Amino acid sequence: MNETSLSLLNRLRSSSETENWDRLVRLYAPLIRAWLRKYDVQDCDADDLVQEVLLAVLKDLNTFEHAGQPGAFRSWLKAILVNRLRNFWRSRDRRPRAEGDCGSRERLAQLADPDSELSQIWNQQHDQFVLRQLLELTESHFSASTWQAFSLVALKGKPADIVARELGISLNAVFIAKSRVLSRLRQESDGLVESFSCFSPKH
Amino acid sequence: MPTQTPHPSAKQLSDFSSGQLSSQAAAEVENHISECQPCCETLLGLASDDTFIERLQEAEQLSIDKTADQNLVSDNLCSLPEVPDLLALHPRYEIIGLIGRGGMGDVYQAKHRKMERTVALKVIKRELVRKSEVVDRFHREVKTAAQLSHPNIVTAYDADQAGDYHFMVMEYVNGTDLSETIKDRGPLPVKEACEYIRQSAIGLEHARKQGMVHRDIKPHNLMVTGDGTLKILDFGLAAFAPETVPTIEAAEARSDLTIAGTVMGTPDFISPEQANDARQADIRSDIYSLGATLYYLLAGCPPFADGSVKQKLKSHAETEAESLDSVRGEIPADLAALVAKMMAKDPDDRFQTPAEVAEAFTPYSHGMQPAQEEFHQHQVGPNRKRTYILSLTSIAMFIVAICSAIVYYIQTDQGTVRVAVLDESLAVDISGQTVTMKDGKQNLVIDAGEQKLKVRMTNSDFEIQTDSFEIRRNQEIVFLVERIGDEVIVNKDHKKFNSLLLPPNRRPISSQPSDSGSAQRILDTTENVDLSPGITAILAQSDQSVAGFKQKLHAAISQAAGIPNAQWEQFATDPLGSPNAIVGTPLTYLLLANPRLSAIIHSDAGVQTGELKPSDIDQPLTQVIASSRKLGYVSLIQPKYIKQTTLEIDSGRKRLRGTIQLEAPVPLKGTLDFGLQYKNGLMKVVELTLPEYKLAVALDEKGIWQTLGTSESADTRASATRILQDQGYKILDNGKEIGSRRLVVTQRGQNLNIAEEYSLGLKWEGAPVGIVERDITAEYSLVDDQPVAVLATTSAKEEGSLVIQAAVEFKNGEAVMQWTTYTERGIRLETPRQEKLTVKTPPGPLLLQSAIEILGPRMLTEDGEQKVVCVTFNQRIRSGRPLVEYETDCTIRRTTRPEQAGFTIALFKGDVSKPEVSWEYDVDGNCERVPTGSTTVMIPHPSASASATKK
Repeated sequence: MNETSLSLLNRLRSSSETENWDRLVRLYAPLIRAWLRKYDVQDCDADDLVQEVLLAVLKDLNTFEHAGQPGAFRSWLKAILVNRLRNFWRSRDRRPRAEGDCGSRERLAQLADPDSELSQIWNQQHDQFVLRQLLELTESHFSASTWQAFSLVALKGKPADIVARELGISLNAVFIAKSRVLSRLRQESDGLVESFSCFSPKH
Repeated sequence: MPTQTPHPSAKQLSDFSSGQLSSQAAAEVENHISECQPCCETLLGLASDDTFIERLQEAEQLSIDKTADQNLVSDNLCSLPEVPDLLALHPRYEIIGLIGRGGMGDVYQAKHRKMERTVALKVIKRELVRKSEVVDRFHREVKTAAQLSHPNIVTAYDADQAGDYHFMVMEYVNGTDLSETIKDRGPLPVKEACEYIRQSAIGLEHARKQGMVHRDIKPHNLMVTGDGTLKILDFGLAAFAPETVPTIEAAEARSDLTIAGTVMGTPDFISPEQANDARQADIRSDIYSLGATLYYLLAGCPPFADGSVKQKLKSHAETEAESLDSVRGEIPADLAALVAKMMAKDPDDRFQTPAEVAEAFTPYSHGMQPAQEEFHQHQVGPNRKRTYILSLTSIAMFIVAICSAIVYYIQTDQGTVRVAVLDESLAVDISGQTVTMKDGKQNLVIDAGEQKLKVRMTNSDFEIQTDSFEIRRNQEIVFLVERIGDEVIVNKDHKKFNSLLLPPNRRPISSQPSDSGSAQRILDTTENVDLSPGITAILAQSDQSVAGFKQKLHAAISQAAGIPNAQWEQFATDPLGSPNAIVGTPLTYLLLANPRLSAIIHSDAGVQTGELKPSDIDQPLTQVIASSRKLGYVSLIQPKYIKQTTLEIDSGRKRLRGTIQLEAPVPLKGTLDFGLQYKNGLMKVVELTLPEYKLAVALDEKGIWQTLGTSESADTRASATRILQDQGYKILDNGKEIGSRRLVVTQRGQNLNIAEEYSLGLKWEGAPVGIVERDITAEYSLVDDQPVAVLATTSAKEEGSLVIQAAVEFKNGEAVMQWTTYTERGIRLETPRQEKLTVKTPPGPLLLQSAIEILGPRMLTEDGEQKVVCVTFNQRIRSGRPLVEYETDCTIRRTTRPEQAGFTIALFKGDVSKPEVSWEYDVDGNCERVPTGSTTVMIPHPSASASATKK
C-alpha cells in the first residue's frame, strides 16, 4: 500500500515520539480542551487532563489497530477522554457541585455511549478539527496557484469556469487542481476521519 | 481535436473530480481532459454533492484559532473574557459581577447606568444565536416575554447586544433556584414544596392569559427569593436553550444553532406531547413539567431518573412514575394523586389551567397571602391594568429639571408631534407617523389626530384623545408626547399672553407671527427663522402659513439630521473601515439628545416655565449610538443652540438651501448648511454641510447618508518623533510579577502612533525583540481638526496577547490617557490610572495606529554580542507544548517534552533535527543547564520573521 505513507494516522504511528507529541498536541489539544470545558473542568485541571489524555494516546499509538473500522481512532480517543475524566472526578473525590457535576456525569455517560447524540457531536467535531488541520498541513504540498484553484472551487464552491477565468488558467487545470488536492486530503484523512467514500486504488 | 484515449466514464469523471481515483487512474484522466473539451464540460456540469467536500467546507469555516496549537484555548475560553469586556463598554449597563452560568450562557448582575436599576443580563452563548434569523427570533421572543408582568415571573425588560453577544435584560432576583436548593438540602418539606408549585402555577396562569407557554419548566428555572417568593425564569427562551429536548422543532432550531458546541441535557421534566412535537406544547405541557418538578422537589429525584435520553422520553410517554407516597412515606395519598394528575399522559386528564393547580395546592401550602392577592388582582381585568400603567394628563406638564431626553419631531399630515423619551429602557418605535411605546406590558400606539393626539393600547379598544400625555414611573416622567403642530403660544413675562390654534389653511400669511408686537417667544424658536422674500412670496401665493412652514422646517431638520440606524451600527462596529459610515465624526458632536425645553406651560394649575438642564455635552458617543440603535435615529440638531436659521431658494438645484447658526459651546458652535426638498407639503433634508469641518453628507437615493468630498490636508511629515516614553512599571497577574511595560507614543506626520512595549515572561533583562502589529479598533473624534477623544481597543490574537483599551482625551495640547489592559484570558492587569503626555496635536485628521512591541529574553553569545532568542510567556508551561515558533534563517524553536514540567529553547540552523544549541528551563524559567560552547548563530530581528512566517 503506497498510499499509507500519506495517511496522517500512519505517519503518527511511525514517527518518533517527540514529533508525535508535537503533532498530537497540535491536532488534538484544542478539541480535548473544548470538550473538557463542556464538562465544567477548570482551566488549571484541563491542562493536566489534556496532557494525560495525549500521553495515553502517545503510549498506545503504535499498538493501536483500527482493524478497518472507520472512526475507530476517534472513538478510541473519546474512550480515553471519558476514562481520564472519570478518574479525575474519582481521584478528586469531588462533591457534586449543584447541578453542574451531576449533569456532567450524566453527560459523560452519554459520551461513553457510542450511539448517543453527544457521541455524534464528538465525531462531527473531531472530524472537523482534524480536517481543519489537514487543510493547513496539506497546503504546503501544493503550489500556490493549485491551492488557490482548489480553494475557490471546492471550499468556496465557485463554478470551475469562473475560477479559471479569475485565475487566468485553463479549465482543465482547475479540475486537476481540485482532483489532486482532494485526493491528497482523502489519503491524509484516511483512518482518522470517517471515510466518506470507498477509496479504491483501482477502478 | 480528437483525443487519443477513450473518454472516461461518467463515474470515472465524477470520482476524478472528487479526488477518489488512484493516482494512476487520475493521471490518465488528467491527460485526457487537457485535450478534451467535452469532458471538461461534463466535469463542469457535475453536481458537487460530495460529503467530503462539505465536511471540508465546514472545517474551513472553523476558525484557525480553535485548532492552531498556539491557541490551545477552546472556543469557549477564547470568547469568555470578551463578554465582560464588551459588556464593560456597554453604554447602558454596568457589570457588577457574574452571578451564574447556565447552558445558554452566563448571567451577570448589572446596573442600568442611568436608571441605577439593578438588572440581570443573560448573555446567550454566541453559538446559540449565530444566524440573523435566530437573533431576530431571540429579540422577538424576549419582546413577547417582556409583556409578562407578574410577581411570580422574572420580568424580562429587553433584548440587547454587545458586539456579537446578545443578551436579555431582566429583573435581578436575589435568590436560589430550586435545583440548587434540592442539591443543597435534599427533598423539601411537603408544605414548602407545594407552596412553590402553587406560586409557579399562579405565574403560569398569568402567562396563560397572555397566551404564552413556557415550554421549559424545571427546577432550574424556578427561583426562590429571600422572602419565599417564587419566580419563573427564562420565559420565551425555551427554543434557544441547548437543554431543550430533541424534538422536531428543537432539531430544526438546532440545525441553525450549529449543533457543534451544544450539549444535550436530560429531558427529566418534559411532557410526552412536547417530546413528541414541541409545537403541540400548550399550557398543559407546562402543568406536566410543573408536576414533574414537584415530584423532584418531594422525592429528590426526577420521576424517571435512570436511563438514556431515549429511555427517559419513552418513560414520559408510556410509564407511570412510581407513586410519590410510596417513594416518600409521609406524603399523603391525595397529594400524590394530585401530582399524578398533573403528570397524566393525556393532557386532557390533567388540570386544564394553572389556576386549577394553584387552587388544588392551596390546602397543602403555607398560603402566602401577598402572592394570593396578586393572583386575584390580576384576574380583575384589563381596565384595572390600564390605569395602572398610565397616568394621563390632558394638558402639557413640562418636565422641570430632567437630565436628558431623546426627542423626536415627527412630521405628520396633522401637524408636528414631539416625542420625548426620558427613560432609555423604554422601547419606542417610530414608523411613519405612528409612535409605539412598549413597556413590556402593553403597547401604546400614538397617532396624530386632526386636533388631538390619539392614543390607543394594543390590547384594548379604548382610544384617548389628548393634546399631550406623559407616563410616569415612580414619580418620574419617562415618556412624553405632545402635539405641537400649528399651535402658537405666546408668552409675556413668563405668563401666558396668548395661545392660538391655527386651523389649516387659515393661518396668518405675514412673514411675522400673527401677534408679533407682543410676542416674546414662540414655542420651538421659530422666530429665529429667516425666510428669503422668495419663499415668503411663494408661501403667500399658495396660501400656506409661515409659522406652520417654520414648524415643519424645524421638525424636518431635527428629524432628518439624525443618522439612520443601520448606518450608526456600521459606524459603531467599524468606524474606520466602512465606506458608508460617516467618516470624521464631528457630526457626532452635534448629536445631542437633549432638546430645548425652555417652554412656557399653561395649565389649569397656572403658568409654569421650565427649562431642561443643559445636556451633558460630553455624553459618551456610545450612549448616543445606543440610543440611536433603539430609536432609529437621534436628533442631530439641538434647538437649544439654534441661534438663527435662514432659508432661501436654491434654484439651480430646484430645492431650498439654508444655514443654521449654532450658538453653543465648542464643539457645537458654528454653522451648518443644509439642502432641503419641499414637495407636496413634505420637507426632507437631503444634504448637510459642516463648512468648518469640511464635511458634507448627503442622502443618496437609497436613503443612506454618504460623505461628500471631505477635504483632507495631505501633510505627511515623515519624521517620527518619540514624544513620550514613560517610566516602565511592573505588570502583575494575580499579584505575581509577570513582566514590565512602558508606553511609547510617537508622532509621525499626521499619525499618532501609540505603542506599548512589554516584557513578559522569563526573568531576564528585557530587550525588545519584536513588534507585533495588532488589529486595533479605534473610535476617535475631531473638533476643529483637533482630536478630542480616542477609544482604542486591541484584540488578542494569540496566546500572550494583551487586550488593551486606551482612552485618550486631548485637552489643551495635553493628552490624558487611561489604559486598561487585560490578558487574553480577561485578567485585568494592574496599570496606573492615568498618564499625561504632551502632544503637539497634528493638523488634519488623526490616524491612529498601534503597535505593540513584545519583549523577551535575550542571550549573550560568547563574543559578547546580544542576541534575541524568542518571545516567551511562561504562563502555561505545564500543558507541555511548544509556545512559540519562529521560523527564520535559523529556526528558533521551543519544544517541551511531555514528561517534563519545564521547557527547552533550542536554536536550529539549517537542519531542524539537530539543534545547534539548546537550553533547558524549569517551570519557573530558570535555566537548568547553562549554555556552553561557542554560538555565533545570527538571529535576525523577529519582527521581520514574524511577518515572514505569516502565510
